[in-house]
Amino acid sequence: MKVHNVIAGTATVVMLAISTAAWADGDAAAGKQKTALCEGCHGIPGYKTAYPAVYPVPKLGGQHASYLVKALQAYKSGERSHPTMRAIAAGLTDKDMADVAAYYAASDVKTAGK
Amino acid sequence: MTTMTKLLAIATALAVSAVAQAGDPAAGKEKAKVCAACHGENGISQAPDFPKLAGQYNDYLVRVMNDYKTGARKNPIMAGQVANLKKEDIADLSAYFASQQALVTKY
Repeated sequence: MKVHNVIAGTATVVMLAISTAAWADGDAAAGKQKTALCEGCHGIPGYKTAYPAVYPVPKLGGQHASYLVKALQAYKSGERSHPTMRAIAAGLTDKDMADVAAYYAASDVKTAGK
Repeated sequence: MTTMTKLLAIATALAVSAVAQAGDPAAGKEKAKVCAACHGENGISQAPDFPKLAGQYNDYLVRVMNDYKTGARKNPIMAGQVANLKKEDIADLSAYFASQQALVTKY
C-alpha cells in the first residue's frame, strides 16, 4: 500500500469516527424542543396508557442515552411493538432520537416523583 | 359466620394477596445478584446499552419481565434470564429495583 493510500484510509476512518460521535452524542437542548409528544405520557408521574391494553409508562429521566436510542430504533423497526411508540418513532430521524435521548439522560432539569 | 366476620375475612384475604403481589424487596435483592452483571450492583448499569432499573416503576418492571417471558418483547439475553422466573420472583425483583433511586419522571 502506498503512503497516500494509508493517509486517505486513515482520514476516512477518522471522519467516520467523528460523524458517528456527532449523532451518537445528541443535543439535550435541541431534544427538549422535540419532547412535546413524549411529555403527555412520560412527563406524568405514574401514568398508564389505556391502549391497546393498560400499560405502565416507564420513567425516562436519568436513563442511558444509548439505551433510549436503541429502544426508539427498535420501535421504528417494529422489533418493539407498542403501537403508540411505533407511530412516534416512525417520524423520528436518527438525529431526533439522539437529541431526545440526550435530553432524558441529562439529570439537570425539572423532575417529578422519584 | 356473621356478615361482619365474612367481610373481615374477605378484606384480610385481599390484603394478603395485595402484599403478595407487591413483592418483597429484600427477597428481590437476593434474587437480583444475577442481574447486576448487566444492570449494575444497585440497578445502575455501567454499560450504556443496558437500561438502568433503579427507581423504575414496579408495575412497569413486572410488565416488561412478563413480556420477555411471553415473547411479546424480544431480547435473547432477557428471554433466557426470565424463562425460569416465577410470578413471585418477578414481583420481588420489581419491588427491589423500584425501591432504589436513580430514574425520575422528567418533564
